[in-house]
Amino acid sequence: MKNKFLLFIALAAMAVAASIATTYFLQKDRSISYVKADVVFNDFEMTKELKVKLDNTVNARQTILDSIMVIMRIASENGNKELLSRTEKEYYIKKEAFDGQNRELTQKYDEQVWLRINQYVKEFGEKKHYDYLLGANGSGSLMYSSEKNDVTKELLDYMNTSYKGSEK
Amino acid sequence: MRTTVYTIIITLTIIAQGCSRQKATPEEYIAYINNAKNGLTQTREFGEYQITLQYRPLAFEVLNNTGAESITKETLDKQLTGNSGLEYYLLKIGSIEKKTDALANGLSSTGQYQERISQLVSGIERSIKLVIDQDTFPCVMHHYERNYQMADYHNILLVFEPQKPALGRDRTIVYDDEILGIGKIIYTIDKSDIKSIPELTL
Repeated sequence: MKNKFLLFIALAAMAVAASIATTYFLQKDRSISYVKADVVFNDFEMTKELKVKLDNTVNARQTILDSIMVIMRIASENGNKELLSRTEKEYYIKKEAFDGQNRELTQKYDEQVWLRINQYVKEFGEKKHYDYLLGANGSGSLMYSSEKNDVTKELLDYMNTSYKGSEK
Repeated sequence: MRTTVYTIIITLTIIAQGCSRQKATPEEYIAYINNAKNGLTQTREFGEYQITLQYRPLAFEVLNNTGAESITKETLDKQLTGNSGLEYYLLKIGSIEKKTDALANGLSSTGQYQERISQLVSGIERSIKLVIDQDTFPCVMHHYERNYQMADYHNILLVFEPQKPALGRDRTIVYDDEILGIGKIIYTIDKSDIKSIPELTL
């Protein structure tokens, strides 16, 4: 009876030790992980919202250019050279201005998104106790990693929850 | 039988005590609202900026304006009745380093600082909305406390007027920043945190 009790205690102690060791090594395995940077960027809610905003602005500007094109075509069909010349000039001035503004807006939105991503990645890394969190985007230095280190979805969930104001 | 009845009465009394709101003196009330752990103040950091939003109950605003030491019940009741239906929030734009004026960060031209100040004076209110469930409410009033660089932060008091009663609902403030280049920031104040605000007693 006594021997059985001692055996039970020994087995229980071994199970606890094995559990602690497994937890430790699993924890240690999380110190270096990677995320797919292009997925993080493209699937981030803020990116999607700003893309819609950018598309709306670009499309509105294109509509203005299209309207001028219609006038140009009508002027050409009617042989109205003066109107054609004037609208051509207006078209190219506006196109150049809009192209520049579209590029600036794209850059502005990209900067906003990366500023936000960098902040959330920092918070995520600190909360999850990672030592390194590498960005893999196909042209980066990380060429291969085991699937078990892929925390892209976990990071994306964290980022989208934080962005929506649910994470405090 | 009598013991059972007494036990039920005592249990119900204890439960009622637990369910009722705590009471607070003016000083305790102000301290509670200002305590970030109570969920009514939330801070986000982006780049060099620290943006904080604080939910301010009407009673808190009255205490701040009138003075916690000198307020009377009559004054409090009159102010609460006169301004009922309004919701107050404080947006604080600060610098993480706390050494420099937050608006002076990341300037690309000399006139940009004054442009930013101008937008805080008039314009920022159009970038901020209160969302309760599916309803979106604009900022009806705002006040920018200009401090002429005496502090590293800038406070903007925001006032909303939800059209329907919003008791027991989460509040979401959406600030679509156009001044600092940090994009949209969303704050959610839990209904449970609002419900936990103690009752002010004078």
